[in-house]
Amino acid sequence: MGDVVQVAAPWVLPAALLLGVAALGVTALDGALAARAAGRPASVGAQHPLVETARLLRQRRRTTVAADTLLRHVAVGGFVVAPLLMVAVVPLGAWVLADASVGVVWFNAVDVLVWVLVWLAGWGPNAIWSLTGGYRFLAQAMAYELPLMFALTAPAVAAGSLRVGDVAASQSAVPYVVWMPVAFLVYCTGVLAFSVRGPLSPAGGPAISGGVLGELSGVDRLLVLSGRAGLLVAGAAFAVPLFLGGGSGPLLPGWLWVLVKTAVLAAVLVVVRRRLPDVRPDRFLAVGWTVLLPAALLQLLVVSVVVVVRS
Amino acid sequence: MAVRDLLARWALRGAAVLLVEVPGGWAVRVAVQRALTARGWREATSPADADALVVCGVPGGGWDEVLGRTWAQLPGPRARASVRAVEDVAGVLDALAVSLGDDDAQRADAASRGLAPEDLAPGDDMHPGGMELAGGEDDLRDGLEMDVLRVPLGPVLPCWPAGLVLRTVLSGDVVVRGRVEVLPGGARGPAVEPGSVDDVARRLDAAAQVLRLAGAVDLAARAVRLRDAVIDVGSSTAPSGGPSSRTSTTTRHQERSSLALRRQSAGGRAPSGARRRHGAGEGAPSLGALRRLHVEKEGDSQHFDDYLRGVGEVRGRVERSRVLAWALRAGDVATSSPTSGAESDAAQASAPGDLRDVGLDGQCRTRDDVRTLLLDLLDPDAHDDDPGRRTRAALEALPERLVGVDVVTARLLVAALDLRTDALDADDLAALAPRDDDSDDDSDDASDEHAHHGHAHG
Repeated sequence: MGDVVQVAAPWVLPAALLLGVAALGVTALDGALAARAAGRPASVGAQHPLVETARLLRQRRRTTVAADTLLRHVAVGGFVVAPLLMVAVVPLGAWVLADASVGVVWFNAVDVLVWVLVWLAGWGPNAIWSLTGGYRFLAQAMAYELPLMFALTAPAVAAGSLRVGDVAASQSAVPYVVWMPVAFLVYCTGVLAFSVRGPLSPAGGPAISGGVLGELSGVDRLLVLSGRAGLLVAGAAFAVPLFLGGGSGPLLPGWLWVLVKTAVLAAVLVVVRRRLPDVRPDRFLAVGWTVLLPAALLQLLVVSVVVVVRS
Repeated sequence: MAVRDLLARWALRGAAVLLVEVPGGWAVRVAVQRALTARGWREATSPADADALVVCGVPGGGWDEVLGRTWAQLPGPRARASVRAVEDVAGVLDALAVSLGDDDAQRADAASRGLAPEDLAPGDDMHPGGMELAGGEDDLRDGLEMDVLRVPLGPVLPCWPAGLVLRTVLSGDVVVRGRVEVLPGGARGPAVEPGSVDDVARRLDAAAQVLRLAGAVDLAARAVRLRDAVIDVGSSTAPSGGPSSRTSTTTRHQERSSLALRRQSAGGRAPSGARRRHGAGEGAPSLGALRRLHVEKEGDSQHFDDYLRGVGEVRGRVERSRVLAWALRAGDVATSSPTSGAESDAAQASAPGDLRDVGLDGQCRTRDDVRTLLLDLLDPDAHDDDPGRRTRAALEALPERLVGVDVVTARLLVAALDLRTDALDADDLAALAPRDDDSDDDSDDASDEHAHHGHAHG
């Protein structure tokens, strides 16, 4: 594998477009699965993201009494920015938007930023269901964040670098998922948790009338919905250089392998997400601290020992 | 403009509709839900999410204000309608689509009202927008100063019993106390015969709501499809009328005699294993008579057997799913329950009157109940002899059961109780009528008082 090249700034636009298409893709898959479960043609459900986009573009933006408008705008805008910041350090074959020497830490910092965004989205509207969504998400975050952090550390320790390109290059023979399966699973749990939807992410859902989404309409809602789909995609994309060998693979060029691996992992996450019921925060906290965290630390220990023995 | 038309056309393929079920409007609500799915539309989860407001049933007194406020919260383009009979559903949805697609009218509506809602009253630092700030109370779990909110749950909430208003005091997202009120329908719903098509369908509907609230979306969708299948079978079997028409007298009679068991409100119910079971071949008793009737008419029992198998599958998945049990049930969480000794004593000593102990314990019990109740709803053998009495008893016990339970669990429990507010009689409704006083100090007493009234009349 050759070195990763940092591309010029204008490439951010095509990257954002690609991320948007992928976000449409996972939403379409989710819609198709939902339609099939309801006994409707999957093709109708697959149109869901386009239909919803058209609907929300037509809809007015609504505000609430004594809302904290500034913080709400920060949250809504932030949802679109966060996934972009995540994929900025993911190499697409030989190219990367930002070849940061601390790429792994950068990703971690952005996923903590999601806490802030969800909390502000909950706080901003000055409404009970939004606030409840924010509360619940923060409680859940206490459960997934530390294990996720240590899971991210494992590949970095093995590669001896925090640069994402180096981590990808160091697994040309065997992808890290093979000998760090626990870290990979903990990482995927974290992705499901920070994507603000589904079983591990109790910020929304019908039980709390939409939660942080409950008071958002129109473009605001569209941005948050796109952002959370983007977070899932970004989480899947970042797993590729970290655990799945980056662009390495037979026949296809590196950039295509990255896309294929991202798409497959994102699809698996969507399917898993649909199959699990919501896990309430206190339960997840118990699991996070008694199962995920020790498991991630043990994995890290194993990796560290292997690295020391090898050198 | 072509772009505007294109957007409107696509937007109308997936309109979101906020359904408000009035007591007595169950059959209409289900018919609307089915029509929504058939169109590719969906139910909205909150007013901000909704394009249209559809009232199902005939609203009684007290609804006008609620509906008016809800309507004002729809962002627009918006449309509203009221459906009183199952036959009207298709026409009403067509009209909604036309109204939502009418750009000029929607623009006029948008121009007539501001984007920001008006303040409730002249505000100041302690009353932003005229609203009270969150308060504090001495005896609450974490002693936070501004943590206590007064929040009415319902009557406009998805997966929520028709007309039920639970006036809660929340500490964070935990219910500190609550008071039950019911907004009545304008016309009493048709009496539901125990074990009739309606009863079976309604229990499946309640199960679907629980599953949906629990986030088990695909299982919920299956329960909804089974519900619809039952309604279809029922309407093809019943002599006349829609799904809300009664089954024949023979059916009713056979069911009455064949089944002594009735569903009980949670609390002192028997474990599901102890319930009488029947061989799958002969069908469940509550459905058995219906099945025979269906066979007579249609010449085969295919639908029924499919249905029974389907319910069995869903129930089996709920029963077997460890994840669902883990998500719904108690377990090891109750470490600080009063029985667990020193730790609990220490907690109590450090925070006298701490609600946490009660809370965790109550929560575990409640989740346990939700799972039991859910399995019960999916039991083809169980049926409901007197929904009115059962609902009244459950409503009386509800405020106490919800103390220390978080709102999501509270909503799961309310859904799992399958409360039939349309089966309450006039005396119950009078006792549960909305009251103006917002006094919170004596609301515990007030709910007790309600309960007593209910008893006296019942």
